Amino acid sequence: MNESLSYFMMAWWDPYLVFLTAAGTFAGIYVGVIPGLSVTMAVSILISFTFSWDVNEALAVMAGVYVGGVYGGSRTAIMINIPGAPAAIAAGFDGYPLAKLGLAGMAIGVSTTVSFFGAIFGIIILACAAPLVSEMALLFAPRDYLLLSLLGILLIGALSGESLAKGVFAGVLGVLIGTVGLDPISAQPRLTFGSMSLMGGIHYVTAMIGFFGVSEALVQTLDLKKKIIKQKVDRILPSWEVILKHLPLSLRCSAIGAVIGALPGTGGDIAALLAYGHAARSVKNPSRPFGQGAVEGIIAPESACNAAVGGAYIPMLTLGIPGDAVTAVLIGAMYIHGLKPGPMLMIETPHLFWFTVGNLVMASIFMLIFGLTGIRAFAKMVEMPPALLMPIIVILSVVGTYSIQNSVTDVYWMLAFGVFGYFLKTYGFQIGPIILGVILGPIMDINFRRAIISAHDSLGEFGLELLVNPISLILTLSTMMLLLSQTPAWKRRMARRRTTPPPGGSG
Amino acid sequence: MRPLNPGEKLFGYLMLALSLFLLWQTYLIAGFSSISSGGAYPMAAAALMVVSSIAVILRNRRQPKVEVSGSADEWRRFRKEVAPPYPLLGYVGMMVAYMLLIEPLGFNVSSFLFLLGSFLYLYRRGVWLSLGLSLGSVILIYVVFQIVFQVILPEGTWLEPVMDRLRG
Repeated sequence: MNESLSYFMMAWWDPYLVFLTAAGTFAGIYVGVIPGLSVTMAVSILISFTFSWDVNEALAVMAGVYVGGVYGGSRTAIMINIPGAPAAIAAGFDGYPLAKLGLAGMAIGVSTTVSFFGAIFGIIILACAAPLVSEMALLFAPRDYLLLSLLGILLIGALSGESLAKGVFAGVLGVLIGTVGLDPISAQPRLTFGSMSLMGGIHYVTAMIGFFGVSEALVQTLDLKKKIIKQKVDRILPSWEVILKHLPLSLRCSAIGAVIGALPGTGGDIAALLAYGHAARSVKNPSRPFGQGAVEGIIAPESACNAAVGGAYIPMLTLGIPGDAVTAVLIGAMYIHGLKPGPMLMIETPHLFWFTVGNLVMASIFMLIFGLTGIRAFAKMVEMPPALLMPIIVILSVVGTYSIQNSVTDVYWMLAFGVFGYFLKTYGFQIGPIILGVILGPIMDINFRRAIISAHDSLGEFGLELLVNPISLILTLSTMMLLLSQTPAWKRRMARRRTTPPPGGSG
Repeated sequence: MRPLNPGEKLFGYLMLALSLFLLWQTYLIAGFSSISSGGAYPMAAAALMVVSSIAVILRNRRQPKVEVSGSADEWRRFRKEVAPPYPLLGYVGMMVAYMLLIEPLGFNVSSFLFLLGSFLYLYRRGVWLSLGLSLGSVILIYVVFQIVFQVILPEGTWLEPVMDRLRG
């Protein structure tokens, strides 16, 4: 125990390591903020600097960038409705309406505080239950990933839009965009229309920047003379009352985040959505209706996606399997430094585990500090006239898209998605499900195929498997419940129940 | 329910056409050969897209219509509210021009021209202010991305010979 504690404190006693963690967190936050520079990209770029460094120094920077980057994405989602990363999509549902009310400072303050709670929660799970959680994560079969991804798309479709039909349409459109390119199993070209450049597929960041960044720029261009809302930033730190009132929700969503983060292949994006869905269902009297600026709608996804960071480290450190795209890059970097993430890491280099835990805690503290101090300058961004801000966003979108695979074709796609997205938005379709479809579509595809192959190509056997395994059964029932709750008959029933409160109940 | 936006019904039919086209394209991948083939999953997705776009069309029919006196009036409203020539269509045109110029002119020059054009077109506060703002923004973007983050951006095929001559 004493030994673990001394490893845990290792980074804290060394001023240089403290500085590196702080610098990494700072860089992570501001790279995460820029739409088009994803956390994965930030980690990949910054890590390339660390190859010649000492292991501990490199690990300190990586932990900082990861923690800061995941948190940073929500800023622009709240400020200008353009999420910095897919995990921040859900934070914009209620964050942007708050910014429209002039409460962006408060929204970011709450988001920062609960992000800190979530991050610490995830790290505690990592520290206390890593072996247990990673064993559980291995129990998830391909069909469970299929169900989990399906649940994520359906949830966002059902929660964010005017109608389930439009949500499903958007989600499936994303799924189809995600299938463009070579089939991952048989390498057959799909929806490439004979074009060579489409063989490599359409990257989800291209779709995200186009559908969110460019289409938002077009929407804002339409309203150039819009009155600029002055942002109140006098009170950034949320009161203890607010924090204590929402602590149970924050903890529940952090738990969702840590578990989803620990599942290989699923990260903060699904975690944030499932948490948002959980909040929308479980919170009876939100501060404002969900989608119109409910504080609960920020607390839930932000707790979850930051808790997913600690969760994602679990399979990485204990099994050597990446929990999401960022940890995949981290694993690569650890190999370069001569470490072997996996079951032997805890045995051969136990100090590394506790050193990482200590680092993540420190990065979370820096995230809280930097997050709460830079808000004033950031709020100015929303106060900028759209005629100045929007052209710059277009330029950043070009940089972000081009830099993924140095291709101008991607930039053309981004523009096409942007114009298409503008019309979809105008006619009441939601953008969120499209992006989730592009990200989750390939996960669903490959897991569906694996599940079907393991069920000997028989739909009957596949259906039976969905019901006999406990994890699959829970997920199947949740999906069924979600679909059922969207049917007109069910909605009528619930509406009737709401209008006639039970006798003796206060409503 | 909100009233329909001009062009919303037509958009619904266009989306149905798009999903039918995608269903046909996904059918061409592997047909009905096997449920674990590369085409089965996209085909299921496209079929779901057809169903949901039909649901959207049916929903549009139930939605309250805004008082319009025929298709000419709806077209007029579409031009005014959804796709006005200024600023929206003009700006889309500028973006298209910008993206086509990135390769020949390079990222820095084309971005500068795009920013200058956008500020003049949208902000309308004089040439010198627009010039200063766009030059400042491009320099800032250059420093952050090309120097600090070392992101590789197109240098420009037209300018390459000129730059080579300048370098001697």
